[in-house]
Amino acid sequence: MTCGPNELVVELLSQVLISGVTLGSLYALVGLGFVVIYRATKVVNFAQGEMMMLGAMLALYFYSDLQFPYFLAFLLAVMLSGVFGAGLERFAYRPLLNAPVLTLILATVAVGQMIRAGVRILRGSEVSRFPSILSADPFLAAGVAVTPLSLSIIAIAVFLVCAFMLFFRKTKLGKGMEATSENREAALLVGISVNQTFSLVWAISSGLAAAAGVLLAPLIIITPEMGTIGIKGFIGAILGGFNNIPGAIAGCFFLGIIENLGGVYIASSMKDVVSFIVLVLVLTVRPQGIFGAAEGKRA
Amino acid sequence: MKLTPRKQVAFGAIALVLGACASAPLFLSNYPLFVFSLAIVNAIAVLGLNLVMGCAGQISLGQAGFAAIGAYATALLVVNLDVSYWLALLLGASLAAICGYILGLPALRLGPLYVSMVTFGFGLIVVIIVQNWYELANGPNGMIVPPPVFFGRELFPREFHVAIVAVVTLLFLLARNIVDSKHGRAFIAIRESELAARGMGVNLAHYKTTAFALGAFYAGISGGLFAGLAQFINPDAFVFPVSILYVTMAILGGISTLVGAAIGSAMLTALPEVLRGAAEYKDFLTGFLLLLLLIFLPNGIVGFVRQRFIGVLPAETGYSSSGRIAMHDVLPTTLHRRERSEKETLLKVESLSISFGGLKALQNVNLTLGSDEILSIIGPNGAGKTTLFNLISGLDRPTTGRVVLDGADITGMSAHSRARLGIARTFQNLDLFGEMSALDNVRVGAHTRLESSLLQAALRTGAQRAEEARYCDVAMDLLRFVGLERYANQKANSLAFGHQRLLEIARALASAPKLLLLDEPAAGLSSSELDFLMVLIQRIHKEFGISVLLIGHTMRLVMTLSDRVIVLDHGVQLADGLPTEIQRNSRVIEAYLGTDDA
Amino acid sequence: MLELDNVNAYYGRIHVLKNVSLRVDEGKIVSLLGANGAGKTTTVRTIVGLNRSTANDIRFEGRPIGRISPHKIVRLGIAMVPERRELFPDMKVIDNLEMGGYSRADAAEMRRDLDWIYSLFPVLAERRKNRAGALSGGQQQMLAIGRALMSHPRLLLLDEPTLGLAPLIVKQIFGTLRKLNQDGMTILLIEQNANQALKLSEYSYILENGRIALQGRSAVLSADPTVQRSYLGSI
Repeated sequence: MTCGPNELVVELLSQVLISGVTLGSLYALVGLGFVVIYRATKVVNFAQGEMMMLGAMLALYFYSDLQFPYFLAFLLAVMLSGVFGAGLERFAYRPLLNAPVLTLILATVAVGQMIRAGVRILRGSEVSRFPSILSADPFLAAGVAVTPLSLSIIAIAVFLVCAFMLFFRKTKLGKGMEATSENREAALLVGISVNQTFSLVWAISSGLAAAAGVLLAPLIIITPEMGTIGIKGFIGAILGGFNNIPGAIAGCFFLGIIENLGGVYIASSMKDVVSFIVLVLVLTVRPQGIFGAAEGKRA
Repeated sequence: MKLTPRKQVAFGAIALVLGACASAPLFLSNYPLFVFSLAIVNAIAVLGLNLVMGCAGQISLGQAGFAAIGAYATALLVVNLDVSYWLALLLGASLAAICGYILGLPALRLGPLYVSMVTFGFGLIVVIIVQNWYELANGPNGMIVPPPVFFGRELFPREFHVAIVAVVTLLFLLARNIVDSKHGRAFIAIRESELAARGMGVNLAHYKTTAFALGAFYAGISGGLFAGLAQFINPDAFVFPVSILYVTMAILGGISTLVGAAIGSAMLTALPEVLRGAAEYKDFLTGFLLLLLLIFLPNGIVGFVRQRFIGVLPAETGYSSSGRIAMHDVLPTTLHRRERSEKETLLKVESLSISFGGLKALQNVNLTLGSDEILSIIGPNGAGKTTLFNLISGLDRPTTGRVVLDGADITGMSAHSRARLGIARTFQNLDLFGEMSALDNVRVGAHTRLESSLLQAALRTGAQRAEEARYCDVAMDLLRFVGLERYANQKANSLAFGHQRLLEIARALASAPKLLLLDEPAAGLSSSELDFLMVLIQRIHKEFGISVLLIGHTMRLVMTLSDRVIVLDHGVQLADGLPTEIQRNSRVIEAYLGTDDA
Repeated sequence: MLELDNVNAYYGRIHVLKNVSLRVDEGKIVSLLGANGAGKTTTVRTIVGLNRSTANDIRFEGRPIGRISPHKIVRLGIAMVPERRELFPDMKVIDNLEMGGYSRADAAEMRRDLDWIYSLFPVLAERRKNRAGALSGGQQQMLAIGRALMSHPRLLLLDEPTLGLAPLIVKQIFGTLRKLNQDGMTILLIEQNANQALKLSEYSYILENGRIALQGRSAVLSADPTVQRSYLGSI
């Protein structure tokens, strides 16, 4: 196969696409957690990225330091984060249930900072590398270069998203969460304990974010600062449309691809700038997001 | 200027503090002085936050970003273009203000969710841009800033400290003047209730963007001063935790206060130096402190103190008693109209329809209101009465049809523009500015009559002061008119329910309207309160010539006061006639009591 | 079955209910009437715990329930159909109904109840996969009632179920309520549509400004001109 300029462009583009989709799938995991919390409580969880970082750190600890098998480390990291998220809800956010939204948002900011600083205290600011579990050597699939690593990341992330959607749409607990998001009082009237539902919401969101962190860990350098990637999940969800979950997920994939394109054609360090500019542009033109349904105006 | 006991105490305290600050260079050695100066510089940024977040109620998580703009702009102008430091400071802050204004634009259409994201993102982007801008700003390595110069002479840190104290004093005074003016009240009104603010004529777009611009300006000054103080700036000084630190300082001191900025920044600048712990502990403690504050002390230290001790010092009312005269001065247009004595059509609603989703809330409603009429709109729950009010006052736009006021088509006009034309209203479930005093609520009602600009307010020009005093008198008179003068300085949400209803009416009257829309003014009132209300409405109508459109369920009120009654049911007009006719109308009776067939 | 004994309730600082006492006997239909703002909705909301009352004097089947949190009330056998229906608009009809049975554990019985509700309201069966928010007003009301019935209550509270509905649908709904009552359901009905409510119920209370102004057998009250005056003012 000759390697002319066209082939190179295609190869480059497809690589960008693959890494975009990989990143996008992780954004989707984090973004899903954001959306679930927002729909239930109208709160922007600024600590979601830190939950992701926590997941990565915990996995690093279990896998690298304690030499647990990978899947056990994964599971423990996600579950511990879930419990931690429920704990946060109980002690930090429930007292603020009736406070203005601004207060709750600031509370999540505060918690995020505490987690970040706490990890730094416990672990120092050293950077770590997650030991590789799968080969990062690309192979050709349908003429496109993919690594087993990114494929498995995409697979696991998509699996988790689908599992969550199944839970959300088909189980009683999941539907109860949706009902609470749509109409809190009516949920009370049919017997749903709103407090328990909130605990569940935060636990699941934290678990999803932690899973994203664990999956992300082999791809990047692990530092206490890596949580800022999490905010992309939020941006992706807003881009896609916060009102409906599939739209939000689509938005996250979209963002991952755009970012990588921007990173290639503009500058790698400007990836974040690209995201925000796209966000502001989209919001100005279409506040409900690309796929979101326009909310009916009410008097 | 009258110096009440409370003002005396306040001035005394401030003079003391200022004296201490300015004379600090005499007592402190270099490093403590630096920390002191830094605390004051931080206080300026926090002041900005108090204006944006505390006063106007907008979320700003990117204050450090604006400070960065101020700092780098100042530094670049001084280093590269040889601009004088103080001019560069002003220019840098102005640039930050422009950025703040632009950032305020998305805030207009988006709720707190998005505004928090956008401001957060902004803060991040500024740092990223600066980190990558090697040619101009030396990227992450930072820039060295030469010492500030004053009339050709380099200022030593001790002298610069005095300059900083002067700047913060000036900025504090400006902020104080703004808050005490119609503009400050407009900000607070927006924070308390955007809907009611619009109804009182406050232009939301203008004020929201102005709030962001102001906050950014202050942050810009803070950044520029920091550049001159530390004489070295790099992106690390403006990262996200710094924005959070500012917010924590603001909340610690008391976000709705101005004095709190000083306390919050003093404590949180000095404390880490005293503790001298590693950076991680500082961030952790800041976050923890913020969380605790939000849960237990959301009003901050100053807010807490004010709540506890506000009764100790005698409250000042700040007005001069001048009898009924002030009131009549304000309503000349109405008086003129009454002299014309021909009955004119003030309001015309033509074929008005509106649908929400698939629901037809109003279908083809028509009404005319003469300039000397009281017209009531009645109908069962869900008939569309408040919707009709929203269409007339401009809080909503119809799908089809027109609203015509005094011959002019106002269908496309915004609510605040209609307020300017003479429409005022009250709300079915009350929409007062709860945290403001009763007097201030009424003063916001007069928003459209006050002409002074933001700059005039900040500088407290003679004209502005006179205008404010005049309308303060008017507001006080209105309170007297509705019988609430005793509660002038009490918070609106501490008043009894019946009094709150009266307060809303006083607030609506403050703009000297031609048309007053009263949405269920009698709901929840006792029998004696109802009697008072009826007399009040009649006086408003007869003495001030204001036409009244009334929504009511209390039939005693409706049938006694109204010249005509319109009945709505399911968005459709059922009847239009004299009260006695309506009471006998079988369709109306059916609508209220239900049909008779089994 | 249900007893309110001098209940006082506040909405913020407004004293909305002033010493309200009423009784709903088992197997009966009782209606609570009154003009807007009289306190009817506050009464029902206080019964289910959405509004806190100051005294602990609400008794259901003998036991005091004033202090019980709202999400536990449905387990006692009380179901409410709120004013303005309050459905879960983005969920399907079938899901809304299933949510009604959230507090129950018996799947087989629930399925039977579901079939029964479909027989009461055939249109719900037809549109069971549709989004609740897309239904017409009357259909939404039927869904709201069906959802409340799914918890297999012994006492059904309805807050203005005919609000904004066409007369034909109103007739249909009242017919269904009559049938439910004939099958043993105890009903407390809040209505603006006084005439029909008086026809349907056995006993009625009329609230005025938070107080019970009038009460008695519905047949007696419907002939009383005072009722009309309470709504439309004296002529």
